[in-house]
Amino acid sequence: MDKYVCNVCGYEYDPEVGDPDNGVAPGTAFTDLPDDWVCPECGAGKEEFSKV
Amino acid sequence: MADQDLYKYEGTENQWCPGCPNFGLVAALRNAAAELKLKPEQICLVSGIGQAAKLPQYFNANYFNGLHGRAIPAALAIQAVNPMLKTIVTTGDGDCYGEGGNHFIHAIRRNPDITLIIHNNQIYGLTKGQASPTTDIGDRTRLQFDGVELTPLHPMLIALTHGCGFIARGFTGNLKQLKSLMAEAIAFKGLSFLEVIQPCISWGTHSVEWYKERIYELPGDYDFTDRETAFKKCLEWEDRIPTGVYYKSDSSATVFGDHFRSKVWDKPLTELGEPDVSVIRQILEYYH
Repeated sequence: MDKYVCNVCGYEYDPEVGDPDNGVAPGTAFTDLPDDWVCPECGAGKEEFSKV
Repeated sequence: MADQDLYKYEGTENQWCPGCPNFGLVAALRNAAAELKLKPEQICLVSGIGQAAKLPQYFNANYFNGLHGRAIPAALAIQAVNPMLKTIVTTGDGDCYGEGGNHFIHAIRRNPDITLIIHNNQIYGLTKGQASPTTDIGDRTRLQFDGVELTPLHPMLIALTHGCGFIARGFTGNLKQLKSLMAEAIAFKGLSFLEVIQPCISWGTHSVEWYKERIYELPGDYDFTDRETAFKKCLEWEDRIPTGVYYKSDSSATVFGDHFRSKVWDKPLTELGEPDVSVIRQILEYYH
């Protein structure tokens, strides 16, 4: 599974870690994140992320 | 804990808009501080008023948040009293070039050992979209309905023509370069001026794409010691906007406070103790 980086703030989404603080379990691929998921650092939407 | 996480402070609720490029700017500053291996207690951030001026509240270090436009004189005093601190002004174009324009000019002349990181989004964002000193002529804003009529200020040129020894421009769309520029600016002895293009996604007159289409990195063979070349780069804006170090001197200029520190005391003034009157007399005679 690929890591994705936020183009706005540099936050890296690691699917192995997920985003537990926001209800995303470890092992969740970026492409499987809900459409309304936002960057936990800066609030940018998924469309602002690029594959590492 | 990653090194840059040392500088995270989450005790204050963040008030920036979701997706604001300021998030990237503060992340780059954390990474620069980590690269320089600075402890949070070795840093003092100073700001005035505005969205950019909120940055110190989201960074784990000493900070002073002052009056509108008065970040620079506060920073100068902090640096004079405690030269052991890395004093970094982080504030916006309205605050620094508008309300604080006078301080900006005279700080360049004094050349204190501080770093200016000026977020330039070409708008007053906190007050919801009035033209700032760097808004382009003709741009329509929430207040200038028929377009800005005043000629924009050229801070890079002001810095260059008044002898600033370190002049650079970064972009929040290039965080890797921005981190390097910040680290280089902070390490520079004397006044370092780093303007960061930080598009305002809520009130700005240009989109992020507008900036991306124009911004390019200065090439590796660019000679940043040549003032005439730097002058030409400072003039570039409408079609192409360079980022990188525009000009860097050899740091030989007199730095504000150096004479005092070499003759009297080079540590925080709070550790000075009883002054030697004869030395003070010598200092006064020197400046007479």
